[in-house]
Parts: sequence; C-alpha cells; structure tokens
Amino acid sequence: MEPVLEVKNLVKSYDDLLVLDHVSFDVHEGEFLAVVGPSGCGKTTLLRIIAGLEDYDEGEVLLRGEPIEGPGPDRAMVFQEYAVFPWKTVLENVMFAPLMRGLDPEEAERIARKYLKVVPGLEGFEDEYPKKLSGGMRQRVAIARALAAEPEILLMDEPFAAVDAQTRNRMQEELLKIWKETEKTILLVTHNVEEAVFLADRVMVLSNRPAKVVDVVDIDLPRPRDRTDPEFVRIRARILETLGAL
Amino acid sequence: MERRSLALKVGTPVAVLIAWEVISRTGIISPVLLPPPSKVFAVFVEMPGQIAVNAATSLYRVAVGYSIAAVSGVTLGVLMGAYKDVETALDLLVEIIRPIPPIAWIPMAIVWFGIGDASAFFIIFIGAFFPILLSTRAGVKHVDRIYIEAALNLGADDKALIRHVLLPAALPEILTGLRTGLGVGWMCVVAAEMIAAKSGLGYMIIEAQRVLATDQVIAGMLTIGVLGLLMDRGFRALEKRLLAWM
Repeated sequence: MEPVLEVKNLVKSYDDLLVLDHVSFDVHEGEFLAVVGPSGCGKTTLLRIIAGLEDYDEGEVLLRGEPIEGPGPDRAMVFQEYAVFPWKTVLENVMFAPLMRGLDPEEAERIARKYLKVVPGLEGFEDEYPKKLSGGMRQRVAIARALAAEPEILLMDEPFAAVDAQTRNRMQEELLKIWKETEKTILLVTHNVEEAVFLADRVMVLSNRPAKVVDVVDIDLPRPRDRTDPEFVRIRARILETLGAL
Repeated sequence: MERRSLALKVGTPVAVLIAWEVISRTGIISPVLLPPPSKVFAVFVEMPGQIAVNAATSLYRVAVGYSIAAVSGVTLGVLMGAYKDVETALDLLVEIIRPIPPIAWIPMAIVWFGIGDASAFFIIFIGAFFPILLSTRAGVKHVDRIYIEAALNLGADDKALIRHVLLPAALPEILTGLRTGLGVGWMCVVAAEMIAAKSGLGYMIIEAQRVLATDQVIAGMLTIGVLGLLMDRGFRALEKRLLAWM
C-alpha cells in the first residue's frame, strides 16, 4: 500500500549551515512514527517542512503521492508551545479548522464537539478561554483542534515538552487512546526517548546537525507498554546508546 | 483604605474649588478674570439648553469624524501591519503627514469645506486617524508568529487570517489606539469649532470670551472636560468587556 507520507532525500540548510542531510522515510496508513534526536538537531525543522511552514532546498515531500504545496489542514500540527488562540473559547478553537473548510457554523460545531469528546478531560470546558486552563489542558485543546481538521497525518512537535512529568505520562496514555479511536497516522517529534518508545510503532533516530537518519527501530511491544519491562528498557537503552555515540 | 482613597480623590478637587471661590470672592483675583465656581455652576442652571445643544453638536461632529478615522485607520493599519509592500508604499507618506498638528489643517479645511460641520469632521478625522493607524499597525506586527502559523496550518486564507487571528490578537493595541484617537478627536473638535464653525462647545466658549463672559467660558471648558472623561471611562469599560479573554 502507498504510504501516507513519503520524504525523499530532503536537504535543508540555513545559509551555510546544513540542517537536514538527505533525510528519507515513509509513514504508513495508521502508523505512529516517532522521530528522536538531540535537541536542536533539526527535528522541528523537518516537521515544519512537512507542515509546509518552511521551504527546503532539495528532495521531495509527498502526501498520498502528491507533492505538498504550502501549509494545509491535511497535515494538522500540534505545536510545541501553546498555540491555541487565547481570544477564542475552547469550542471556538476546535471549530476553527472545520470553519476554514467552508462548513457552516452548525456543522463546524458538531465536528468540534465530536473531537472534544475524543480528547479526554475537555468536556465541560467548551466555553472557557484558554487563560483559565492549565498547560496540559491547553495542549489537549490543541490536539482536539488539530484532530478537527481531520488530517491525513497528525504532526506533533514535542507536544508534551512543557508539561510536568505526571501530566506528561497521563497525556501519553490519552494520546494512545485517541490514536486507537481515530486510527490517525501520527508523526511525533520528541527528544524524549522513553516517550518515543512508549508511544510509537517505529522510532527513527536522527543524528546531530546535520540531521541524518542513523537508525530506525521497530517497537513490537504490545500496548499498553510497561516502562519497566526488560524489553522496553533494552530498546530504550539501544536508542540512547545510538544517540550517545553521535 | 477604601474610605481614605475616596476622601483623597474627592477631597482635592473640593479643596481646589473652595480655594478658588475664596480667591475670587475676596477679589485677590478679579472675578472677571476668574469668576468664582458658584457663578460658573450657575451658568449650567441659567442656560442648560444652550450648553446641551452645543455639546450635542460637538458630540455629533466627533461621532462622524471619529467613525471615519476609526474605520480607515484600522483598515489601513491592518494592511500596513500585514503586508510589507503596503507598509513600504505608505510609510514615508504617513511619516511626513503625521507630525503636522491637526490644528494646522484648519486653514485648508476652511478653504476646502467652508465654515461648518464638514471642516470639523475633517479636522477630527486628521487628529484621530494617526493614533489609530499607528497602534493598529504595531498591534498587527506584534502578533506572535505561532498563531499565524497555527491558523495557516489549519487552512486559513488571508481573509480568515486577518479576521480570526490578526484583528483579535491585535485588539488590545487597536483599542488603545481607538481610545487615544477618541481623546485627540475630542480636543480637535473644540479647536475646529473655535475657528471653522458657528456652533458647538468650542464656538460657545470663544463667543463668550468675546463678551468677557468668563463664567460661560469656564462652564464650557468644564463641559468639555467632563464629557471627555465620560467618553474615556465608557471606552475603558468597553475594552474590559472585549478583552475578557486576556
């Protein structure tokens, strides 16, 4: 079957600084792919290029076989920072993408409410402004907002980097539930190896600038995964070792 | 503390009034040059109709001139903030015209529009337009990129970006500009009416001055002050409601 996303020989540099050096990979239908790499290695740049928010020098990015052109809701993104619109209520934030698709407000609201149910903990907060919400809750809103765009692939850029460890673990479990329920294809970038191994079907390891694919690890562990399971620990150690050797 | 601040707040103006009354009554300063406040307040009792009609005329002129300034200032401000080309094309022009005091336009206003409403509209427009334009432009330029990227990512086009992101995100600064513009417009109407009109509060006080009716002059001045204060307070209340999300 044709992959949802194909990245072929992607090259990107800022002035003289080479950031991405011939990066190639595919993401398949319904797959959860995590990309790990040292901080500042170019993972975020890779994701932003796929999202169409940044251009690239060489290579190809194909979504269902078609080259991407600029940003679009078929590659909805959950950003690192809290990018929910503070001037819109939770419901209005989640209605945004459906409205942009040209749906009338009633239909947009129906879709928004559907995804507000998919993401745990948001019911009852529909009419609140984001300032009233905790960081974790805001990021849940961001996830619901991206899902309401009904993307081909959901892009996530360190979505849990800014929340505390406890909330982070809970949100990882929630994300797995959402993934199962919506059968979305997910591409997640993180510097947290444990997070990647806990969540993903495959973990792609990038080297430090310029970023190259140095390893791709299949995670065949059944879910829910136990972070203390010997196999989990072994895979995590292997990836950390790969990263450490860079 | 509450009572103490109230006492200070009201106490100072009352003390000034008493001192003023004494200075005027005892003839330390001639009552013609400085009529006592009791005489000034008597004007409001003696000629309430005349004051009300002139105040209504001035308010009407501000309403018209200011509305034109608000619509055009916000529109151009958004375009200059959002599109580099528009800003480049208009920047020098704005920078040359902006330092000209609105009052310096009065002679040309009389030549173009004659004595009356139209000249006043024009002067008020000139005065209110620039603060609104500049705040709006600055507000739009300060919008955090993350919100723009999120909107583009979710499928927003230029029009949606302006309506759903740039305008609401810049609203705090736009409202500050609109409030400043209203204050400037209110000052301008008085100046315009002193020279380029035959009605309104500005006309009323300059006419009273010609016959040395200083009590009427000061009564007119007080009316201008109180109305200006009320407008500002009303505007602040509106701001608070519109920015409930902040």
